[in-house]
Amino acid sequence: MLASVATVAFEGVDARRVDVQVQHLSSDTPSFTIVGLADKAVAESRERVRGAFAGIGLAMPSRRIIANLAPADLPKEGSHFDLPIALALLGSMGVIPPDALQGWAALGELGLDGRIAAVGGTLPAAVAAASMGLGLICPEANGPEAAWAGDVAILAPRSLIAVVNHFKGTQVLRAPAPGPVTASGKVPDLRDVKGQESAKRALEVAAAGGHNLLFIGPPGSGKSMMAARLPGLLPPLTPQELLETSMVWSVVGLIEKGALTRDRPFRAPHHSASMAALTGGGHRAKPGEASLAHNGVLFLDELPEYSAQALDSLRAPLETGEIIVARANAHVRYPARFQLIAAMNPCRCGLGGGGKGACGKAPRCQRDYQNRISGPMFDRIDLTVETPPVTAADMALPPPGEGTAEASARVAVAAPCRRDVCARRGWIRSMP
Amino acid sequence: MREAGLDPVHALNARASGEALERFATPDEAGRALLMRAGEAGGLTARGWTRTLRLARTIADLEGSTGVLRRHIAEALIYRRTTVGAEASFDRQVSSRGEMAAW
Repeated sequence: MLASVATVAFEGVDARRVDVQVQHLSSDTPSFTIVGLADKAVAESRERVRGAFAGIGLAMPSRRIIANLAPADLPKEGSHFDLPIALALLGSMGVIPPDALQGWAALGELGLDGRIAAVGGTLPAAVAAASMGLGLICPEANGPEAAWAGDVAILAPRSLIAVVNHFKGTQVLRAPAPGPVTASGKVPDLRDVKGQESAKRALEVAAAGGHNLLFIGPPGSGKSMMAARLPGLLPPLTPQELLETSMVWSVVGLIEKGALTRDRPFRAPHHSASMAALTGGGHRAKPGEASLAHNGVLFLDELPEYSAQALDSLRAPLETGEIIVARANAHVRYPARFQLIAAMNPCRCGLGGGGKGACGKAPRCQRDYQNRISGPMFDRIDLTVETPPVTAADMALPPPGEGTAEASARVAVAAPCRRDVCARRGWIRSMP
Repeated sequence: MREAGLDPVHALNARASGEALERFATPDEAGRALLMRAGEAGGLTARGWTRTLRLARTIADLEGSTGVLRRHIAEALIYRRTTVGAEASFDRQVSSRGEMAAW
């Protein structure tokens, strides 16, 4: 008997509908095949489903079983197809009435004991299920995350047996509640930075307008410190931004227990990061650091040390706010609207030809070092600020009078997303 | 709960479109003259022009000013310079040495 269960395949952060169809044919040689451009993790589903069935004491039918993941020309990646395949198989065996499965999409990884393990992407899957008019069956650990999608029925079973019992009516599952929204506790305070008043002013301007900023200065002048204090100046995410950012984080599997955070993302990848790590794509087509920084800040310390390929791949998202990766079968689009903060030394020795211990090769080595950043990259940086060396006298001063609280108040008044300002300017379509 | 109607793409000065800039970030006469001079002196691409206007609009916002004035453009232009440190002072030295030689 043919049974079918809906699930999703992820393209970037979009969840596309996939239908898992299971059919058995009588045969002398029982087998279990999965077709539909399944990658290795999906092909291994066979073994996990077999093991899970054994784990709950069910025998696989000794027939030739075929599981088709339709549409057949869409590449399927990830371990979340285990659960929909198992459910479709249970439907075709009559253990779960097939029409009961019609109103649901499912995703989850199966353990050999029949338990359903957490997977990434539950939030976009729940949103997609809602748009398909279906409910979502997801792992118990992802239940609070899926519940954020709003008006969609969610079942979050712990194991395969729990799903069977739910549809039998012997052990009905309760809908999970959405996870908490956390706000950060302490943020680093601008007050910790001594001196550097003009750099702090530039940081405020960058925060108020979402502009890209580059600090150039000798080692120890506070560049990384000030960059780390930028998130404290930024307003919290709006509900729309929170949803967008959470969808990206969900696909990467970074949402724990359904907890979403209002804090703007702040990503600081090391300069050895590859282009795929920064912009996404590569194996498994996961979003990269630039997408994880969507609606937040991407901090690149030691800017000239990043590979030229990695830096150049950021030029497009700095203009368009998204990253398009061309893969063999399709173009995948990731959101990547971030604010860039970068820091660098003026030259290799770090002192820029001035001050004690200067290496004397300036200005030639300085020009060469700064030329590692391409002209088009500099063109996208709105504020370039020198951070002069911090003297002993500066360090001996008492802490400055103003800190993050005062600066962020100024930013909040001036900054965008203030509905009245934006509405007056006609920059948003104001709706009731 | 989604805040209907809030289009984040346009909600940041850094993302303001050309049309929005035309309406709200057009500088006064003096500001425009300064921007033109900077453009003619070189080093200001078309992208640079738009970005400078956006930056000037933010600086004006921080001051609470409705219009974009010459001093906002001036501050924005300072922030957009890209040569720092010894390179800049070396250039200054070269030009001042040139003046000395002529004299």
